[in-house]
Amino acid sequence: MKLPPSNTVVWFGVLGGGLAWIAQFAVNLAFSFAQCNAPAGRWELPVRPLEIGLSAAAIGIGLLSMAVAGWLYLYTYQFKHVARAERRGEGSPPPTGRLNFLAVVGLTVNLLALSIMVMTGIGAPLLSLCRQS
Amino acid sequence: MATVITDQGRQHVDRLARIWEERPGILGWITTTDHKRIGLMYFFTALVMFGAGGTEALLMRTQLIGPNHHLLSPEAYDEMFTMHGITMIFLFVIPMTTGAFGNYLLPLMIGARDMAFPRMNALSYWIYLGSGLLMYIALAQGHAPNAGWFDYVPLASKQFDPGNNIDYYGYGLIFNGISSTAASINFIVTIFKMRAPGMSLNRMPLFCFAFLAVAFALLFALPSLTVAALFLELDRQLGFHFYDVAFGGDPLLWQNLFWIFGHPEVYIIILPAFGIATAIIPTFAHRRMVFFPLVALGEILVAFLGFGVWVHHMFTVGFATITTVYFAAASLIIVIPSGIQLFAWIATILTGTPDFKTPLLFIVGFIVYFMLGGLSGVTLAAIPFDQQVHDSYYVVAHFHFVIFGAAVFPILGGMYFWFPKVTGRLYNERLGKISFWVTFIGTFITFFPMHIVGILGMPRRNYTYAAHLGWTLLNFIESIGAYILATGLLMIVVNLAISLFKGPPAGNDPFEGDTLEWSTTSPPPPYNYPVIPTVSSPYPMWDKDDRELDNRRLARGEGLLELGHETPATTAQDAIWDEILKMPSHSAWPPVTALTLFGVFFMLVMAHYWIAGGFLAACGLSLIGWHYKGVRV
Amino acid sequence: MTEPSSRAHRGLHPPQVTRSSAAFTASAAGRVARQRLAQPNGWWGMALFLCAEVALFGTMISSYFYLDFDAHRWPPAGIPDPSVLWPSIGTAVLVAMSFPMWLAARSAIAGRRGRVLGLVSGAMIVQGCYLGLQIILLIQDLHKFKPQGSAYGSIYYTLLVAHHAHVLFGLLLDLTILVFVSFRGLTNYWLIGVRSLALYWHVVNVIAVFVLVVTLAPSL
Repeated sequence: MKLPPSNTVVWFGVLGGGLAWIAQFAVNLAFSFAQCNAPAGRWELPVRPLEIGLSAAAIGIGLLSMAVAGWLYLYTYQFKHVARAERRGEGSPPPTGRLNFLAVVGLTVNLLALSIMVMTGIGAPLLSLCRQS
Repeated sequence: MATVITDQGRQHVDRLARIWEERPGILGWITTTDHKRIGLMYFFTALVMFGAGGTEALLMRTQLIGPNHHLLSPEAYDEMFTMHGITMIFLFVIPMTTGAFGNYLLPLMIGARDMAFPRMNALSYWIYLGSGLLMYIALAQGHAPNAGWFDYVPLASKQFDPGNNIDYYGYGLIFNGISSTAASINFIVTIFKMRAPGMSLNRMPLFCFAFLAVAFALLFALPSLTVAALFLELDRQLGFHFYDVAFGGDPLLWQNLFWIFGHPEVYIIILPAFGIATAIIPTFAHRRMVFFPLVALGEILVAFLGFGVWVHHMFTVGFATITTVYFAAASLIIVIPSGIQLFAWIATILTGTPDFKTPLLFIVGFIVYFMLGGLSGVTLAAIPFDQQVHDSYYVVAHFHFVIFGAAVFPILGGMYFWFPKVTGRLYNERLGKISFWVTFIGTFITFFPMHIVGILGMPRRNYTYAAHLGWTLLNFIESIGAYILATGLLMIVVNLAISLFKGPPAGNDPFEGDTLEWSTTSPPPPYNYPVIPTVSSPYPMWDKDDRELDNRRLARGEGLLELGHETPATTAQDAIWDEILKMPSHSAWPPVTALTLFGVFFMLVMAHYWIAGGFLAACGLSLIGWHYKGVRV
Repeated sequence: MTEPSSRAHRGLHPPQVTRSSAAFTASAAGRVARQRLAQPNGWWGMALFLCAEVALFGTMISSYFYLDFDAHRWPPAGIPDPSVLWPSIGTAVLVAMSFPMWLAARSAIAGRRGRVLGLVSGAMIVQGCYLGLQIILLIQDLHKFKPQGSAYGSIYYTLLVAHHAHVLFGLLLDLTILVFVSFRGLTNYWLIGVRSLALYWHVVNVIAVFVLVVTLAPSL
């Protein structure tokens, strides 16, 4: 990876998992509406393979994003003014301080987004299709 | 330490005071673009709205104090709970947090001299005032909205609500939405572009992160409400069929569109409260916030994840489990960023040396209610439980704990905290503490029994109840609690009103605060800071070296930007100084534009479309006038 | 390892920082525009406003499909499938106007006032023709089915009219820019206006493609 990291790489590490989560949930939601709201199954979609495939792709992007955030954290941590505990993540001069801060943000956002994606990625295919909740 | 002004500095300060002088009299207030004056106008208007919404609540609680009462007819009761919800959400809490606190404090906290778009800031206020007037004109005419603040179809459709009650609401929402959209654009650009040089993202105060999250949430949530209201009005006034089943429409479309807005809305309500809490806690705990990056990201994450949970308001409508599962999962995970913040706040207080003055007491009250309200929220995220208590008082208890307990308490604490800064006088500490306890106890007595009466089966929005159902005692207690709560709130108002005239002088920094607003005078001068502040952490007031450097720079005449109404613009991530901007000063165009828009929406309610079009054309001309001279107004 | 530095950590007294609103001539404004590190505030304001508009159209398009999923037949019986040819040609022409708009923004940054005026007026004429074509197509559709006849009609017309309203607003913005750049000159303020206008059209054009695909979906 190029050093210092480009803005695109940094913000992928921050937002990649979150955006993958939005895509996974919005598209799967649309599939579920199409399959279950429609009278007489007008939209015959292969909901299960779509659910699993989309969730797998989204989880993959989330993991990649988390890896980028993790790398960014380790890369910035080696600079002394970032590693000093009292100043870590806050107050350290930019750009390294800001990059470290964004790395922490990215790690947490990705962890939570992945949690949701894994929960629903496993849960949704296990539920009966179109059973009313 | 506060800014020290030497003799050399004095001439620069005087020059800045002349350049930024406010126009006197009422015309000065009407044409102001100063964020502090606009913040104060928002504050007092929102306070009046709080009184109105509170009166509506007290009327409802008086009605429900015993079974089979008829103080209010069923129709009047419908209007009361609808107007209470509309007023408290759209006309009190959002304008108070974003309009009053946000507008007044944000530029001060980032070291700027004004918001990014001062005239649009004024426009947001005048539109807010107009939308409030529009809704209350409805009430005055006896045509107040009456289908609940969530306004479900088919009850809100023309067939079942034929008057123009709902039209006032639908168009009023779109009108109000313009105010909030403009305000959110202003907040985001201000936070990204107007921070003092050196205030990179990781050096921005936590209060600003909360408001950044709120602004983004408003920006993306309001369009859904606008579309929902537009579809409703097209159905009602022009006979379209978005929501009626007979022609292929779907009432659930309204519910989905409303809650896609409505859920982020409740996070929009609570996030500024988080911001206020994270400003008050470090000051009174005398230590930096524990886990600063996690608290900052917690604030942003709550707003972000809040867009993925809306169907949890619709768990009983009959969606398939493969639909609801996404929302149940997200509703459970969203507890985590809130929890991170909660633990960080508690840890900061416990590991600091807390001084339990009135503002911190309100924050402790907020933490208690947020915890309790959050717990009932987690139970509601479980679909089977939710289906048992949906539409009961259990839900009313939950959201009043989180909205009143957790969103309003920081507002009250914030009013005490920044009262010395805004007025230059100290409030009465003893009366402040008493007012806290009365408010806290009143809140508990009012809303806690609602959990129980909800599980006992009492439904929401019923104008009365029968005597044999076992709800009488609990309702009586809740109503007494409401009167105690009202007393507590009155005590706060009385304390601040008297202190405004009789309080001792506050000085610049009575609480040893951590953010930049405490470095300037109380009240701040129109130009906020004589010197653009030097910043190297999110707690600028505790960086003594930086503040001393500012004093030396003032004496040397550096970084003053005194060639006009000037403020720096910096880059978004690292706050590198990029250009010097000239800000507009007084302008009549914002109130004029707001007036034309009021005409548009009022005429739409009346279904006078051509006249509405005329007002729209007038609005266009007003906008041309606005831009006619660029920023040289 | 050497620490990364951003393009220019200029410190507190950067010599290159300009008083941008003092740039009253095209060449001065262009110089300011080229020197800036970040996007100007006015451009940011337009970008954020467009985020809200994208959310607005996203909501309307989602509503279209939500109603579609509910229906036995879509469009309902008695309503013909939408015609493809002329709407597609019109949209292609509109999208092509992103190119002169992009050029206009670049010309503004280069300080070329005359070119800006030429490009914007040319684009404006074509965009006006597009709107005229769309209004004709809309009136033709109204003879076939009304919005008050079905949920399909309601969402179809609302989505289209919302898009056309944005095109109309864009034309009014074009006119405003032309008048002010002609009479006031390409000052810093109006240079940012030109850049914001170009951004507006790029986003409206993307939305136009989505609206086209959605409204033509039953025929595709």
